[in-house]
Amino acid sequence: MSETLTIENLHVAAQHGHHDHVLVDGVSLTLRRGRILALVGASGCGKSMTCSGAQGVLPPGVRVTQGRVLHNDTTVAPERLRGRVVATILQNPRSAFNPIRTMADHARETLRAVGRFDGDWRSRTLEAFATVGLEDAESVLPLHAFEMSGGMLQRAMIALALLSDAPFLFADEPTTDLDLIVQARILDLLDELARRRNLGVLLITHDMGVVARLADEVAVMENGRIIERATTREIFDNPQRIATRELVEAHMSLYPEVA
Amino acid sequence: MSVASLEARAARRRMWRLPIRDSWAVRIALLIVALLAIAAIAAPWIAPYDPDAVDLARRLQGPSLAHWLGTDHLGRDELSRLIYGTRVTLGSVALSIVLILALAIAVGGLSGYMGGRIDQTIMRFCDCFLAFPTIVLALFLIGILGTGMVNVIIAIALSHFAWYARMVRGLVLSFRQRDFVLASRAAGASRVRVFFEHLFPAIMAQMIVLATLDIGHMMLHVAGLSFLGLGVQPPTAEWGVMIGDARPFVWSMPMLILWPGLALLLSVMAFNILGDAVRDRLDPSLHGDHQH
Amino acid sequence: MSVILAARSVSKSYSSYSLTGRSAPKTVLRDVSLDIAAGESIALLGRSGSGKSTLGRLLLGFERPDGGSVAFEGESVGGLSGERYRHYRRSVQVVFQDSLGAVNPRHSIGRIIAEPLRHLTDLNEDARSERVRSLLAQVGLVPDDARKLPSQMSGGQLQRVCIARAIAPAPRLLVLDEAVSNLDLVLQMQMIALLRDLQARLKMAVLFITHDLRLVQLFCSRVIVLAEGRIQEDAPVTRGLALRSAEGRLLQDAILPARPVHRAPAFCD
Repeated sequence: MSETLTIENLHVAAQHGHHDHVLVDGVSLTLRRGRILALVGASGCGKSMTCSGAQGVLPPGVRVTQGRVLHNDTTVAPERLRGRVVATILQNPRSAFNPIRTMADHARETLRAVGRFDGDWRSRTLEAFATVGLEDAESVLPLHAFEMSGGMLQRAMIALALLSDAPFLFADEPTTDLDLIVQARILDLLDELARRRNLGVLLITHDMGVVARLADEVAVMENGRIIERATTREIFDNPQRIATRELVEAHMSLYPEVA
Repeated sequence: MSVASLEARAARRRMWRLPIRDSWAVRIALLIVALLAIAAIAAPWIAPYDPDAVDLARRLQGPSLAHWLGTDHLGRDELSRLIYGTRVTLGSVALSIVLILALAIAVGGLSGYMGGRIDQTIMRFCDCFLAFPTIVLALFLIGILGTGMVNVIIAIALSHFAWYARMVRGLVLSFRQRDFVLASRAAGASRVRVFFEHLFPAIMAQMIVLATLDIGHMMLHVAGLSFLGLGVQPPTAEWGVMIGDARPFVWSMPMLILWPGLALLLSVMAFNILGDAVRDRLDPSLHGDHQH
Repeated sequence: MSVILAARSVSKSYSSYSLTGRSAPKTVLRDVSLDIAAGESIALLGRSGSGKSTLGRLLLGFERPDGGSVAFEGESVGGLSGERYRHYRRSVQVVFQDSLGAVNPRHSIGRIIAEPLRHLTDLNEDARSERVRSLLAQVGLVPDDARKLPSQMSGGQLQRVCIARAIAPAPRLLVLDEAVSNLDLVLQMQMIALLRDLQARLKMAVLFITHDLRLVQLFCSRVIVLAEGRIQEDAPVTRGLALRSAEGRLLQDAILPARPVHRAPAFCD
């Protein structure tokens, strides 16, 4: 039986004065090592909140009201998941880095956080940087975030995620802010890494093209709930719900030559 | 009236509403500031005596029914001097702030908008002012300009404005890049109009917050310079001067130092607390109510 | 066909200043020439760093080129003043990528949309309100939205507001600087449908700056590929478009698949 990560009946709400505004309404999903699950939906449907809620990194005023996360059928506290079981990469790489620290500082911090910081840290970091295609990894270590392009930063973020050796990866709109060419390369990278390291990936996106490129399975969210769940092929060939059909049709209208 | 417009009105009102519902500390601070304002404005009507009325027969008396806070070494009523002193202290702080903001916006605004060599030159000029501790700079300026309240105000303004100018410059630099400034130019607005319609209100809001936080600090400077005899000249009442005058009597009549000292302490605290509350209310980055 | 905007051998570099002098200049645009005629819909395609946004800013008169010139109806943009300048601003408008950053958060929607009317037309206040109402309807919003603040609107709605503001002075050319890139796919398609509709009705020329070739094919009749500050290709957009330049082919190959691709099974290291 392969390793699994299950989010069970997650409820997330934002506090507005006396009443709560529900953002995630009973979402359950299971990630398996080696499979990529895409979580899609229009903006505001709650997909990012699901990802943050499962890891316990919600913004102030927002909290998990119900639900739990299981790693191989054992309940795990969200704080224990972060970095150890689940690594995360975010949409805007520039905001994920401390502007006054170098890449080396970030690598050290990541390793320390998961308790893997030892004399070997430098060679492991260089290896991770090389794996994500940052050529001349030695010269990247002393750089600050503002000295690197968006694509380079995204690769660096993926490298830091790999350093923790976590079996699962949450990728929250990882290529949305990148131009098409860089996007294609980062997706190729994610594909290869997922296969090589047998990662279980939760891929959050609004772009069905990204889904077509990477995902094995798709879960469609609307208003905080999962309304449809199927393999990628089924979702494209036979979308059931209206929201799903809207997403697929919007995507297909970009490809007029594909009838 | 539609729901949308009602919501918009409510959102705007939220920004400007007095922080009465906040913690009790803020409420007390508001009360103190209100009392100070009343004292300053209505001094001639609420002060029981003329603050300059000398009565050597009644000098150095403790609190009594006739003189609630006692009399000083010249027989003048402490309470009346305290009330009239509010005018001088608050008045000079207010004028200093106006002067500082005017200088800061002119200098910082020009620097930020023009950029390049002009920006660099102006900033180095400001750095000269920033390099000195404010009291030292104020003393130096008073040495040149002479004593008197007007010169104290000028000295305080000149020693403080550089920091504010830096703030303004930073704000102008960050706003200059924002698309809404470009959009306004695309809409046909001239550079001057862009500055006054878009940049100036945003900058003023931030500056008011900063200035409010600094009021307490400046009150201490004004009182400090007056204590050293560099500010108002006798017989004008001012808290710093009152403390200075009371020094020879610190063992025989410590109350003379206590009243103005307490007044300063409470005022500075009140303005600091209020400053924090104003910042929390007006700082747009702390408002989390935009949709995704 | 009358040419609205023309760039001739335009080049632009940036360098940073300090008290010790300038840093080495970085060339962003080299020798770029381009004509935009009335009614055309042109795509300016390139990846980040290609110089497309800089070219947009030069065409809009926000910055001056270091070399070459930008001319509006034959006159150099840098030399325009008075009524000629106002005519330029009326005729050439822009919608930016980030709608939230493109509006003053303290102004009401009505005031935002009316800004070009205040500066560029002689309409009185009532006429302006009437026009704002009509513009809101044209972009699919309701008259009540005029009283709202930007923080009360979603990203997609705010972008519609920006479009309304841009078409307020009835421009002849609308520059869209990655105007739909920040929206999710469904909203992108809606926005493109709106822009196509407006273009047809108002008979505007459109310059669509983007990095996504898929959007170009929906909207534009001509595509100009920009890379490293130079024009690599200028081709008409047809069904079955195949770009020939090296950069064009890179951009075309990078397009995400229409249908799911088969993924090889995982293997462990």
